[in-house]
Order: sequence, then structure tokens, then C-alpha cells
Amino acid sequence: MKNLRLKAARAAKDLSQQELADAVNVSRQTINAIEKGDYNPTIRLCRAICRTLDKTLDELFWEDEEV
Amino acid sequence: MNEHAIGFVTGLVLAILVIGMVKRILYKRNGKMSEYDEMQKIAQGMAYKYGFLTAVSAVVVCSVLDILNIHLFADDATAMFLVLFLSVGVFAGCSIWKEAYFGLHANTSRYVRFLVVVTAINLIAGIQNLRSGEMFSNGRLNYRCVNMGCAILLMVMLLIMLIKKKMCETEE
Repeated sequence: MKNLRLKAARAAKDLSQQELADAVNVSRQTINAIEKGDYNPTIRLCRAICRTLDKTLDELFWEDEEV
Repeated sequence: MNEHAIGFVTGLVLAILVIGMVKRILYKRNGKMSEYDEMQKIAQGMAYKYGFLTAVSAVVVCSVLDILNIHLFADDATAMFLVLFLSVGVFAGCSIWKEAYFGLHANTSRYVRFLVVVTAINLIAGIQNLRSGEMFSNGRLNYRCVNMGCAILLMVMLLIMLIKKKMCETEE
């Protein structure tokens, strides 16, 4: 499932995938894969992304159960 | 030890020294050693797995054919070199495709230029061996085909890098 919230939060901060990747010390491909839903990041990387984007884990990574 | 063996061992030692020097130049000039992120490490693990399985499968096939006395297209040592190229090619190809081949701080363009030079050297040596007919003995490939095998492996790697680069340009 695509992580559109991450993409939106990154865009709101006016960061490119490469800039976010550099900030959290991963490759651009990793950020791209997370946004596309192809890769589930570790909690450590999730926290680094949240800190960079000033968001909480819930805001970016919690998936609400569909009713 | 005859002259041929001394030359072979000297070449091997020189190759190891050159690889060590090139690695230092490619990775240490910017003060950072190669580092991979968590997704790259997972991708590399999968690539190693595929490379290993390819090597095991190819060695089993070669061994069974040898036991059955079915002559391969290459002599024993050459067949092992070709198996090596095949498994390295699978590992490198999978890693490049998943963008896990180069570390986070690697100078990719410098590395690619180095690969192009090595490919050209091997291709020239391979074509010379092919044209002189030294690549075959008793109708089978001998160790002189190693340059051509190496050139083909590197060309495939460069081709995958090129395709991946084109794909990434339109990704974000």
C-alpha cells in the first residue's frame, strides 16, 4: 500500500526524495520504496523520518483498519 | 615452478594489489568508506542468495555431466571460471537492479568509468585471443576465454546500470 502521507509530509517540507534520504542517511531508492509501499522500514528508520519531517509515527506510518 | 606458473601467480598477486588500491581510491577519497542502508543490506542478502544458488546449480550440472562423461564446451578450470562469472553476474545484476550495489557515499560515476576501462581491456584481450584461435583447444574453450567472459559480465553489469539509471530519471 502506498504511503501517501509520507509523500505529502515530505512535499510540505519542500524536500526531494534525495534530500530526505540524505537527512536520514539512506539511499533515495529506499525512500522511494517506502513511499511506493514496496518496503517496510525498521522502527529506527521510521523514527528518523518522523523527526526530520516533524511528524509522529502515527501520523506517517499507522494504518487505520478499514471497516 | 615453471615460468608459466610464476607469471600466473605474479599476475594474480598484482591483480589483488590493484583491486586494493582502486578500492581505496574509489571509496576513501571523500573520507567515507562504503556504507549501505537497511534496505540495501536486505537486497544484497537476496542477491547473495541468488548468486549462491546459481553457483551451486551450475557446479552440480557440470559435475553430473563430468560423471556421465559428457564433455562440456569448456575444460574443467574454465568451466569453473564461467560458473564464477555467472554467479557473480547474478549477484551484481540483482544488487544493481535493487540499487544496493553502490554504497551511500560511493562515487558512482568514478566507479562506472573504472568498470568501462576494465571492460575495454578485457574485451580487447578477448578479441585478440578469439582472432588468434588460442581460445579453443581440442574444440573446447580454454582459460584464454576468461577475458572475454569477464568483458561480457562487465558489459551486462553496465547495461543493467544504464537501464536502471534511465528508469530512475522518471521515477520521483
